[in-house]
Amino acid sequence: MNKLLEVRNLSVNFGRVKALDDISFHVEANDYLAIVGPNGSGKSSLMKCILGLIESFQGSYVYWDDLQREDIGYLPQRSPNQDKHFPATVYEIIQTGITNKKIDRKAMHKAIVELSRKLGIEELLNQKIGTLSGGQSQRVFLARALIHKPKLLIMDEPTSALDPTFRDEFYQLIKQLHDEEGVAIVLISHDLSSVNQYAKNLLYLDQKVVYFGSVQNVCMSEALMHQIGPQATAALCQVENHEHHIHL
Amino acid sequence: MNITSIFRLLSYAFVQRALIVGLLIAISSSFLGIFLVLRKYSMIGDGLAHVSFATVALALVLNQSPLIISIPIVSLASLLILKLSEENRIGGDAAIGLIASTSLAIGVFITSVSNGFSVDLSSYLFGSILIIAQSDVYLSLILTVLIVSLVLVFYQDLFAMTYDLDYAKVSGRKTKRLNQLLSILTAITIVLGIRVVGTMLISSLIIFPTVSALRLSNGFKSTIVWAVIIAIFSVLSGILISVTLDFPTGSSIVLINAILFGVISLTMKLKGGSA
Repeated sequence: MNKLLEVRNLSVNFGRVKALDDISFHVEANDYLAIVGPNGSGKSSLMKCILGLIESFQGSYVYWDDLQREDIGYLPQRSPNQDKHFPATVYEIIQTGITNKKIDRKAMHKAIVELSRKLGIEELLNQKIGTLSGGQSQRVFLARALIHKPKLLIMDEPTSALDPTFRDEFYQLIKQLHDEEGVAIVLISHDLSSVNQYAKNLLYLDQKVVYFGSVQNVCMSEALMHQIGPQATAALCQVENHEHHIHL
Repeated sequence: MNITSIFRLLSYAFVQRALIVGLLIAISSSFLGIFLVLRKYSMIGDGLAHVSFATVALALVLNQSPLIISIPIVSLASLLILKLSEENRIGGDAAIGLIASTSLAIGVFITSVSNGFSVDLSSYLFGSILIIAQSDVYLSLILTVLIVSLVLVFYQDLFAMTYDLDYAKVSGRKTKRLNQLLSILTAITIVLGIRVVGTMLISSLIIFPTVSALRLSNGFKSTIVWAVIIAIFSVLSGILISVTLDFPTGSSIVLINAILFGVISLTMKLKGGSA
């Protein structure tokens, strides 16, 4: 399988505090990698490094297989602009996902309408972004992340601000996208039970890499058991069991 | 004052120059205003106006055109404010305060040590249409076309950056360069605007039309269109009132803007809008 992204010996310090220590892992084409870990484990810092939002770090990351920054879609935790009166329609927000200035206006309009129909937000296109609910907003930002047809979609705890009923629906939507269009997924989360049932690989982070490998082998990791204790490991193993259950 | 006398006033070259320059300033300031107001950089206009006061004083001492001296220095000051505010140790407002107060001090210093100016400095402080030369009209036209063209070319990038700076960076947009572009365009607009409304009031031309337009519109583009309409109306009517009733130009324009803002806010509140 081709690598899309490779992180090599990446370390980040905030002053004297070490946020990430010697992190190495990779994301393959058609991968679904869940990055999990407790609060303060460095998940968001790692994501910001990969996305170019943190520029001061040791180590490196490499985009493989002709992956460009423009090929990465990014879905934030919640609405990035909290100004409810910000004068922008849903259509205008989705449009910001398109960086190709040469794109034909008609083709762009068609793409926005089709994608918004697929995500169930077609009727919201002319609404002001600040008037939407949390679930509607996340669909809009998902549309913004997908409109340029990314090869890799990075999501930072995308359902943390959503109600539980919408969470399952949201992950089904992502799974469908992954399966049908082959978009590689990196999902950052600390919600083991509901999120990792869809992931193929797991990176458990606690400033260092505690575990990196397939979800199915997670129970065999003594390092993980030692680091997070039997209770949390059991939660991860339930994920494994769930995976088996789905495949059976 | 009747229609005939207004038409007679409009036949004077200095009034025509003022109206043309006023129209151009209204367009360029309202094109930039939305990006500055929504990014909480409204006061950069005020800070740069203080810098332009110092540069005007310097130009008058050197007997040079204020526009030629002011544009490069105010542009550099805008980049310095940006650089200082990007450093985590100094916030944007503190950076503006530092540059503005230092520049004002320099301006006052130059004024006090000089032997007097051939042009009244208060014309530049509060605006006067009498100081607008024909060359100012041409320069204003060129710079306004430049400002509007650049905003239109980089519109999507500037909008993306205004809504969500992190996403703009993630999507590969050159946000540092865009910030620098926005700062320089703001500096040029400020320098152009001080002829009509003066250094003390120029920031209001950037802020007022945009905040009024924000109450009228849902979308970003439509807010810019409303801001342009409000700015053109307030500047042209302000100049005409100033000429016909012999009121100060800058304060006439700002007061019309303030009245428009009040009327729009009240109307939208009564309608149950966002104001």
